[in-house]
Amino acid sequence: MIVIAAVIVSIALLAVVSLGVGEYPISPGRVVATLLGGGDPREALVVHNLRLPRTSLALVAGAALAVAGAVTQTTARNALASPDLLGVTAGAGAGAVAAIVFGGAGGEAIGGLLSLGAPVSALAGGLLAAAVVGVLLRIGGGRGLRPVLLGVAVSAFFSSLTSWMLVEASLDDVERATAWLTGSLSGRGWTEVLTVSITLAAASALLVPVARGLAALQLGPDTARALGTPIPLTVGTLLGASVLLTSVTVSAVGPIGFVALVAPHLASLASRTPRPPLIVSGLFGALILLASDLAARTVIPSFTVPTGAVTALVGAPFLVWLLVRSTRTP
Amino acid sequence: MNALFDLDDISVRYGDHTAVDGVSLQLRRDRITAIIGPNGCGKSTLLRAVARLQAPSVGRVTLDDQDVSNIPPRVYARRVAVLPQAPTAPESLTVADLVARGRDPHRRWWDGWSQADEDAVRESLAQTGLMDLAERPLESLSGGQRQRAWIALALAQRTDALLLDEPTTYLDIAHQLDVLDTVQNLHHERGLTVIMVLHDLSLAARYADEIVAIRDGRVVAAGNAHEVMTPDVLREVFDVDCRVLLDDDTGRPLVVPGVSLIGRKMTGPDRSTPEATHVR
Repeated sequence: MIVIAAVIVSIALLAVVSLGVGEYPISPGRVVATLLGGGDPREALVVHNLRLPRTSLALVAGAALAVAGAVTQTTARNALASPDLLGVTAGAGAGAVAAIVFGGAGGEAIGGLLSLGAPVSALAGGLLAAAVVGVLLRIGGGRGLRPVLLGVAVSAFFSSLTSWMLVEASLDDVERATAWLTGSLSGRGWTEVLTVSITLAAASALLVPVARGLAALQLGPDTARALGTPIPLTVGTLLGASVLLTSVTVSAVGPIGFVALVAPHLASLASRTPRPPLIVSGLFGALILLASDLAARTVIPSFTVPTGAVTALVGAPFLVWLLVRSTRTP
Repeated sequence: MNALFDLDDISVRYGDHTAVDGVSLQLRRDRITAIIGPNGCGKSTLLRAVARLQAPSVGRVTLDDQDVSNIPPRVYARRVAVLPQAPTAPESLTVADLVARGRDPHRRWWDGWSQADEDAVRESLAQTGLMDLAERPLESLSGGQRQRAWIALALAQRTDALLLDEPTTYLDIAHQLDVLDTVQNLHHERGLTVIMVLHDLSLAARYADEIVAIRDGRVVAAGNAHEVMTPDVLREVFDVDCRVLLDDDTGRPLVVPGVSLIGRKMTGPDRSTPEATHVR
């Protein structure tokens, strides 16, 4: 409870700072006043129309990625099994690029396609990648580093597919697709916020009935079965929800890595629980993506670094630490 | 005969390998039954088939005349508790949290934690002597205590039957006795039907009322401890010449291993060894 409160307060503070930062700086006090309905028209325009969508997107996308990560890590009983490392993110990325490249003839049509075609296509790509990894793990077993190695291979496959599509694509599409592929929150609007929010709500509705199965699965598949958990249904729902969350989020903000890996670990450390609690993971994910986006916009003032680059910069050392730890303990 | 489980000609195959080969068997209610046999004989696979952890390739297992594969998972989990071999728990899971999972079969996903759940968990902890360790993480416990915690998890399911797959693996002798004494007490106090796979002959002879001896996926002998623990059966199952004595304190058979026959030319039974000798 204390952890949840602390994270929510941090998110609120960061959000206020984030809404104030930019080419037209607004003090935190004025941001709060504007949010509460006050403020002059110019401030209202900047906060409500320009910055609020971006901040909201950081929150919902971060939460969605983190919940997906917590679910996969717990289901697989593997601290390294997060959707970005397993290749789901790359699969969803390839799907979304396919929608951009083959779906639109460039120009105005893209806006509409991004809101509808890309999420569906990304979901197809994500499911395909998950299915491939799933089948390979079933054949060879999935303990230790194996899932990550398979994920690297599957990611490489889908990345090369993406590169190939970009070679074939028109110049307009390429520009759009590459900007999107770096994983960024800029140039997104309420459509993306709404898409990710609806997905988050839908996935939560799927997860609530099987959440207890998640706790049983942590004791191993045999014990979970012995406790009356319907394994295929539970695992299918859990992983399905995770792929849905990851794919749709990727279609909205691009392949932003490491949030799904890091947030559940922080959540489980902070709450001192043996598995990452889903809600706390989501909150940590929101906090991480919000902070990363703020850093992306402020560290080099004249130039906005892609948000995905910041999460990778912070997340990669964390991955190395996890790898070292997982090879030390059997 | 008062059978809880009835195994009708079941076989379990993995690819070319036949782990269980046409076993028909009745497992009795209100008894402690031990399944024994050498490594790789299929004894664990047999238990897993009964526990629904492994579907038989051929044949069927019935629980009170109902095909177990037709019983919904949660319903089965309210009637039979299963403790798999060498189960693992995530880091820093406490004993109480582990045991609480035993209530899963009794709760729909919208059910909160009820007083009945709390009572069942406390009773399970008390009966396994873990009340004082309830808040300790599992990894801080000794091997025997940890195994008792897993048994408490199974008890919290409030079932009539408990299936254990090698519950004493990796434990030293004191902890082996600790765990099996716990199981035996539960059998006496709660009338729990216990079916367990054991690899230790002396422990099986000491704790089990009924023994099933398996070799190469087939039942060599089944019956009460005195019927199964004979030099002939043990030679056939384990390739070991044993003497079987009678422990006057417990009235149970006592196995004294003699010569291993593995790698030797098989010889006929040594007629000079008496079937059972009384010792004091």
